[in-house]
Amino acid sequence: MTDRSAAGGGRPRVEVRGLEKAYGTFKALDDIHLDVGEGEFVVLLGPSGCGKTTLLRCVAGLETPGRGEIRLGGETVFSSTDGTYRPPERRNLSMVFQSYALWPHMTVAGNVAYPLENRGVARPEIARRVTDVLRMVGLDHRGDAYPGQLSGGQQQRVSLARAIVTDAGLVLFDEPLSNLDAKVRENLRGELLALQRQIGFAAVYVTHDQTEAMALADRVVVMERGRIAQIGTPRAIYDRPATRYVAGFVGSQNEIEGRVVEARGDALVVETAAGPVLAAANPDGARPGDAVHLLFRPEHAAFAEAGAANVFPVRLERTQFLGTHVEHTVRLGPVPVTVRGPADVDPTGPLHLRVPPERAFVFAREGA
Amino acid sequence: MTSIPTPLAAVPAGRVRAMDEAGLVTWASLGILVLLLAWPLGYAVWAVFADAESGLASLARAAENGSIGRVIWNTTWVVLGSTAVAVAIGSVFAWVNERTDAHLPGFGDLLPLAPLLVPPIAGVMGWAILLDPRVGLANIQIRRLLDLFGIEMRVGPFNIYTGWGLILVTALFLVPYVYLLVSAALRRLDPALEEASRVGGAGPMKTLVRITLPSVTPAIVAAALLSIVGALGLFSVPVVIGTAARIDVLSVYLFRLFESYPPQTALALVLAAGMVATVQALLIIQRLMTRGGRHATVGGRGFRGTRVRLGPFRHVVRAVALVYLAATALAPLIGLVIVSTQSFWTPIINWSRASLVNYRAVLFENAGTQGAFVNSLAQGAAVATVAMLLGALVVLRTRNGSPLAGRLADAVTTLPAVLPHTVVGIAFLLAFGPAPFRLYGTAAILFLAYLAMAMPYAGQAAIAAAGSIGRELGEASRVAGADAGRTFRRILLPVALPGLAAGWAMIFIHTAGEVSASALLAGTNNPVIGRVMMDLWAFGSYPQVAALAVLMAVVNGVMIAMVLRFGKRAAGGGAA
Repeated sequence: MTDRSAAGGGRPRVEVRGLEKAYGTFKALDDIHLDVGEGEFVVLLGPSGCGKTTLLRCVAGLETPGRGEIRLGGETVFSSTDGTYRPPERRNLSMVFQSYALWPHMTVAGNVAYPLENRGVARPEIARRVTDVLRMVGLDHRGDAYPGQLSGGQQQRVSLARAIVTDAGLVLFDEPLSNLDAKVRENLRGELLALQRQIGFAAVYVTHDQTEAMALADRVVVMERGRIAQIGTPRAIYDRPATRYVAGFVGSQNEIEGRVVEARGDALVVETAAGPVLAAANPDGARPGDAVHLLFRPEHAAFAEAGAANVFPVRLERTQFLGTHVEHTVRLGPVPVTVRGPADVDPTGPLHLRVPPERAFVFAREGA
Repeated sequence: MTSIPTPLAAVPAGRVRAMDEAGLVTWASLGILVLLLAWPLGYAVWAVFADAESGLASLARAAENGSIGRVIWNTTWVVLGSTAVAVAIGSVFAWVNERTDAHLPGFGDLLPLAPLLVPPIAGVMGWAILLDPRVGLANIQIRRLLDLFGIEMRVGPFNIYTGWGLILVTALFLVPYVYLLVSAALRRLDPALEEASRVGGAGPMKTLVRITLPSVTPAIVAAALLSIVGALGLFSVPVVIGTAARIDVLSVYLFRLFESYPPQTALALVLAAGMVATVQALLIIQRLMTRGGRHATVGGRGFRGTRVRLGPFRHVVRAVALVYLAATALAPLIGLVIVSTQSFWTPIINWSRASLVNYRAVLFENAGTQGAFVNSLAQGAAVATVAMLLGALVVLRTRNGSPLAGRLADAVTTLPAVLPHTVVGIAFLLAFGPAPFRLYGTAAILFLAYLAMAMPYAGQAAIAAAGSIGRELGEASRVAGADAGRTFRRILLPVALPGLAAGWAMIFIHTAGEVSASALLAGTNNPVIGRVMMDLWAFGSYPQVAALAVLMAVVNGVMIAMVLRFGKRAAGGGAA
């Protein structure tokens, strides 16, 4: 995929094999396999309750999985077969928490120095490294301050400094930006990425924000109910979602129910309430006669002249101005469909919408 | 959280799993605490049943001559009366301070602490000094004032040695509990609920009655039940006022059964069992009443709602609140200070003869009072230190640990709170008094009983302190390379320290001035303040009692300052 992926050579920094974790009958993690390469930025993406935080905490050693194996830098830190469990303090990794988790009774410098003290680093060396990383996050002048005296953004910078000071080569992020204001969040996201590129640590980053995932990740791991739904580069996830769930979670989708009536080369003709639609993307391998969902993104549909292939008459229902773009809601037969489009649409005239076949996905409809 | 291992799991599920030496210390502490409670209580329960026959027989005898019936009747109306008064005062103050523009900054911190300035037994004596019908200092001043208007009185106008005196003074000690519970509930209650009612067209009073009150009803019920439990077990007030007024209530009656010769242990046990059963029944009722999510108060995230405007009336309300605060904290103390400087408690205060003779006497000349002073301070410090250490260890370390440890920690830190102190005293007396322990009258038996009674405070303080630490603070430390023990020493303990210090001071105050259990357990060889003050009062050595009380007030004042200083820091969460 990219040159930073696990295939980049050498041992992966993180190897997760067949991980399972259950709370009573609820399976928080179900047969998870994942490799994170040295210096790779992997984002775990999914809605709350999908298991992404549990997976992160299992890697950290803060949760004990029910079964499976975790190796860090080639060393087994957890294995259900031989009962290996290495506590968090002996896994040589760092973590940035959603709540920042700065210790309120220690100064900024004290917070950053703590992981080094635990590792028995000599005092002059601690002072030097603390100054270095505080400069890297732009807080070298606030070393004597207490966390309570800093803004949220500054606190998370301290937390970041604390995570990179040990040079452990692996930093876990548990929704680190979700407590911050939108503007601060964007800035910090950029700084975080720059730091990661500069230092080259491997990162496992949990978020439910797809924009954040897209912006940060070398690879995105989309999770659904304790399982991995898809792993891939942000572009692959966006362009070639493997399941209807992934397609719907990353970006927005228009969805029409239908039935495959004909295979035309690689493409399928799907009979819908709005008429027959040609769709070329068929990850499930649907065949004529199958009940399916037909999906396409608002930004891929476009108004067009009547008469061309895959063009349908539509009726404009409302137009919303959203700042960066305009969103139209139209009716395609009985189905409401969202279109990102030009601002100048004549609401009175006849309108036609083109659904590009190569951007239209077909997913099998379960239970039909 | 339930973390049941799956059948396939080769290792138990759960959070950080580390049975290191720190874990052993935690389990050992838990074990000690469980034994500390289980042995005396178990013994007492066994004794009740073993002696049930003679107990019931003497109960029947006592019932025949009417003494039991009278005691139970007295207890009932004193408890219910003082509870009603306390719930009314405490709830109104809570509402005023949380929801109206008459709120006073700091009032909420001071009100619960005000009655702690002097130990309860001394506080009651202070009120008696002020409101004794003949020589009460306040009564005398009022009579002089009335005299100017031509109204002549030889006694009164107030008489503390009555049912009303008993009820009102008891209520004074209950108000803080009510206030704390109700104001906490009001603070948790999202002001948007009330604002929605106002926007919906209801006035402030209608909103109070239809929205606010129903929402905090569980807290008010809980406060009432806690007051009943507290009043039932309260010993200091009835032993001073009730004795003089010839109104015997259960807690004092139980004490007399042990003081009489021969001690009527069997009867006392039956009565104590009845007392505990009543308390438990009340607590079960409370749990049933507040079950079901109908009263679930969803937390407003710290937003201050608009306060109800009381208009010019708010100045009156404020004045009342301030007077109440000053009266509960200072009035009895003033009475005690005055009497402590005189050679006799007389209606006429002779300022030219005022001296510190009594202080010298109780501190340096009277071996009994001197010993009591030293013993009580030492017990207070020792119990507070051990209780807070155990409490912090048990609460902080079991918070995310095994469910069993959590449940045990919960039990040892809540069970003693629902046992009247007199009952605790009886249980320890029976369990540790005879062979093989023979601890009656020793410092050890006092220490153990005090420790058991202190655990709820320690648990509360530790839970509050733990609440100020997010779970992630400890996890961040583990990930940063510190093991469980080091995380406890370097992160959890220091962050919790202000809250723990506040808890320490509270335990010190309660232990050093304790009287209910002390009266039963402290022998003559091992005097403690509570028992000695009780005896001196009974002998009529009022100036010496007063001097002791004032000395305790000085010590407690220092402790309260500590609570205020550290309690604030813990709540504010800010460092430096």
